[in-house]
Amino acid sequence: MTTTQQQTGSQQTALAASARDLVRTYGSGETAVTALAGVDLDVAAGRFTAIMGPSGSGKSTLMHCLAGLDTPTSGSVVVGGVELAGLDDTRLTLFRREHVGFVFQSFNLLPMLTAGQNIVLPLELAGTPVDRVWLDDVVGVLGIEDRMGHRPSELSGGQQQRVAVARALISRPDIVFADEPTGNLDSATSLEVLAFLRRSVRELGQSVVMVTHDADAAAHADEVVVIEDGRVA
Amino acid sequence: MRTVLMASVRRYARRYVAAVLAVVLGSAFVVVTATIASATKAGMLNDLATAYRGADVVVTGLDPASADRALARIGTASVNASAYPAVVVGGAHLDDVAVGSVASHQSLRWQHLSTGRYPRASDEALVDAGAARQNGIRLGERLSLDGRDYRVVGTSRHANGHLAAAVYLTWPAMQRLRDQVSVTDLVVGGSDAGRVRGVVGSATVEPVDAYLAAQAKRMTRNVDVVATMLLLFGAVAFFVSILVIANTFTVLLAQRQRDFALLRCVGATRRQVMRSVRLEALTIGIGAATLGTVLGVLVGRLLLVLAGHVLTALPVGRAHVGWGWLLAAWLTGVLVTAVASVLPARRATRVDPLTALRPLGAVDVRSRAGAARLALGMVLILAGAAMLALAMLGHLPLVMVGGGAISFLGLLLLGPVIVPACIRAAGLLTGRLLGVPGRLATANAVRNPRRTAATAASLLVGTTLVTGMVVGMATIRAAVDTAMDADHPVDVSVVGTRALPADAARRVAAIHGVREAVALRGVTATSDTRGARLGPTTVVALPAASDVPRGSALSHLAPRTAYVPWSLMNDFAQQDRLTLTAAGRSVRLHVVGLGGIDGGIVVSQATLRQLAPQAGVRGVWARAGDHADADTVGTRAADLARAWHAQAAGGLKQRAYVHLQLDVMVYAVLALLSVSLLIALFGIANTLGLSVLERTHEHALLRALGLTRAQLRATLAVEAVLLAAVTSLIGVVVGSVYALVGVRTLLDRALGDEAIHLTLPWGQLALVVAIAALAGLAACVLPARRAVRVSPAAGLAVE
Repeated sequence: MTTTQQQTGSQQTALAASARDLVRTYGSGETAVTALAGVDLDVAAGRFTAIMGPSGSGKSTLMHCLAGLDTPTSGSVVVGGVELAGLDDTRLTLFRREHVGFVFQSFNLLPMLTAGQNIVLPLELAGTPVDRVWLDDVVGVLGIEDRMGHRPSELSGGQQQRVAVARALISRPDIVFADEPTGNLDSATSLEVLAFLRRSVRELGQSVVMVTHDADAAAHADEVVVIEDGRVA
Repeated sequence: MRTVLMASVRRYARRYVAAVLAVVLGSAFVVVTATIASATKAGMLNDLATAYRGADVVVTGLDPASADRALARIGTASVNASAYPAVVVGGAHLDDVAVGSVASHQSLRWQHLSTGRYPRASDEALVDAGAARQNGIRLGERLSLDGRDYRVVGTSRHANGHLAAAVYLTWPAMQRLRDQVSVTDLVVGGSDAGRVRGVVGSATVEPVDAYLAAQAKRMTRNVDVVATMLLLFGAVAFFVSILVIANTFTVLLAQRQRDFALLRCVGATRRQVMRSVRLEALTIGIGAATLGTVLGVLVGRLLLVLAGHVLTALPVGRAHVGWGWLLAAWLTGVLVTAVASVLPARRATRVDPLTALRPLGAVDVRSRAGAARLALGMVLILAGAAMLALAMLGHLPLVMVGGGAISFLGLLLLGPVIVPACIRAAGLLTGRLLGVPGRLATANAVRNPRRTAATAASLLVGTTLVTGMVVGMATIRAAVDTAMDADHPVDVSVVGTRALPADAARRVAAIHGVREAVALRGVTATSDTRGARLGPTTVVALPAASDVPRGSALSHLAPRTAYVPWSLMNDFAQQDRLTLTAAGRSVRLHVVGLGGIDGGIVVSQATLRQLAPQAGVRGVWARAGDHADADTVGTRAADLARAWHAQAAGGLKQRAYVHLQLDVMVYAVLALLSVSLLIALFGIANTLGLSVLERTHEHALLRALGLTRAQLRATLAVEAVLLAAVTSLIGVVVGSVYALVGVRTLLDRALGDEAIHLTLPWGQLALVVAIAALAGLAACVLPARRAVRVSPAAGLAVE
């Protein structure tokens, strides 16, 4: 963690995302739960960062706040040079569309669309034309060219996650968030997916943040941030 | 299992809203129908009893002469008679005015006086207060009945029943209407049947109680027929309810498969689970049916109170809804729920525990229509179509109903193929117009063909019936219009016995609602036939080619022909020739009887020129616009007629009256079907709501990827509108086909050889689809609100 903190201030432009004094509480009164209790974090651009912690540590909440999926109770989040605090729901949505890619643990793909349709969905939502060359690149790197016409139910778990990775990369976002991307996969397939995430950082210059509770998975990252009880440990 | 059952009902109660509403509406409908039928019966019996208040004996089967003879020989008696003479008030003809009789003995008078006094002399009349208000008749005014004048000396409180009329005369006054009069009966007070029988000879004599009992039986039978027809609509509503409830259960139980699997894993047998589901359905059915029955009683009461104030023409009495009806409505509601839940319960509990517990099992909700189901659907459609063809060829109404039901059932079975295919086709358009939300909506709408078809089925029933009704009535209306064109070719006619002002046609044309008016030249002539000579008659001619008369009857007036109004035909004793003479010139003409040309004989222009070369303006014929108000036009024409000492007449009021009756019928049926449509829409809202719950995760994913709230809302709206609009479009097509079959089967014979053309009222059909689409939009409001309220982070956390 020390490495990224040293870059603060001196290399603003090389930051993919940063959080300052991030607090997120759910509910109120006696049933209030504090998921994040003041997190400061910087994510370097062009690096593979892992956020690690046991379940209930607040790592998913942190990722949701960084990605503009959840609104923090207080504190500031800057992603790709955009301050997220104060954005309304529509602005946040447009921000996600343009700046963020996602890979989730499961239910990653829409069951009624083909793999190809799933991949270009973020572009369609944004009304951006598909860059065919880039699409072929990404699909080629991930090795799913011959799966484009299949529906998710006709793909294996590993193939589904590869399609999800392709979808996350297609809009060339400032940052890709992967939430337990290997949680539902066997170890061989897990390695495969992690390798792809790595490759996308190394070969495509993508910034990737992966949330995981699995130390083996975290070992593939350039940086590891450990979260415990809502704070950076 | 009791704890599980009660907990389930509590937990999922909100998801059963559509099922509950469907049953509530169905049960309430039956109770309301029963309430209104019973109140109408009570009202009719009340009217009947009032009309025979003072009578002890009733004599039927008399003609005016024998009634009059009997009256002379019995002390306290009165003749009840009716007549429909030509009525003119202040220059205006009134159509269909019933004239009744008022007793001269006070004890037998059943009319309640409002103002003035009862008529005594034979030129005095009593007018029903309702009729007086409607036609602007005031106390002291003069009425002309068949050309004789009567003075209005009193008004009576508005009455209903078979003795009620608009104008009442004393029996001597009525007798002056001669052959117009038909005697209903003779009532006798202070006597007994035996004594009366000795006086009246062969006529039927009954004590009043026996007579009233027979009448009551006849009347209530009519009410029962109407009530039975109403209950048919109740049956349709319940059928739609079954579809909605079954669909609700299917979706709900599929979502709860993991609950059932867990129950099975902890030791529940399949039978226990099934029993629990069935009891759950029963609990919901009982609750909903009870609610519906109570609601029905309340709404029925409310409607009666309203009817008592607004619809004074309806005989409304005190409602006595028997316990039998309430029980029937309640039981039907419960049974419908129970029956509708049988199949879904069996399907849901058939899954073995481990399959259901597999994490991904719940996601794949795609289903396909079974081959057997499709084959059966095809067979039913073909069989039904064959029966419909047979019904058309042989004019067999029962075969038609059977064929219709069978083919519709086939259609419902094929729904999982037909409906998604149509939605996909329509989706191409929405996808192009609305981009991603449009395409997502199409994909969502067809992803579960069976659920889509089941949801569509309930709406299909309603839209098909509505379309069948609308198209059928439009066709009947067109046929009736053609017939009316022949019987009442002239909308407004003002014809005088003296010359009219030169600008008469222009003044009539200036009346609001009149589209075109044409002046008639004419002359007063005497007419002779073999053996009869008539006084002066107005003879008019229509200028060449005019659009004013409707239909073809008056478009080509043959030369040397006299078109004689039916009202004058009697005087010509069916002669086929007559001679018209005016100022020494005569023409001999063929006689053709023609309806709807009140006021004079019509001849061709050439004939008139022969008879009177210098003929002046004698009349005006006018044609009204499509949306003219018949009453205003009639009143204004009558005003002009009075000023010109002419008489106003015409078929406009008649036409408006027939149209009103057809409209009332259409609106009544539509109102009754709207219950079924409402239930179907609850069904759509419910399915959509349940789908939204199911897709929480998916929606969160889409939102994460950049779908805005507005886009998500649009996606759901398009899905609902697509489903509703496409379904109603299918309903419109199917309903039109059924209407064609219905018209060919039922009407070809009823209306004789005249060719009947199926009339498609495009505007109304478009309205059906538009209303369905709007309703679909309304149905998605609540589910969409719930869907967009979930933040992406919360949605992703949902298991």
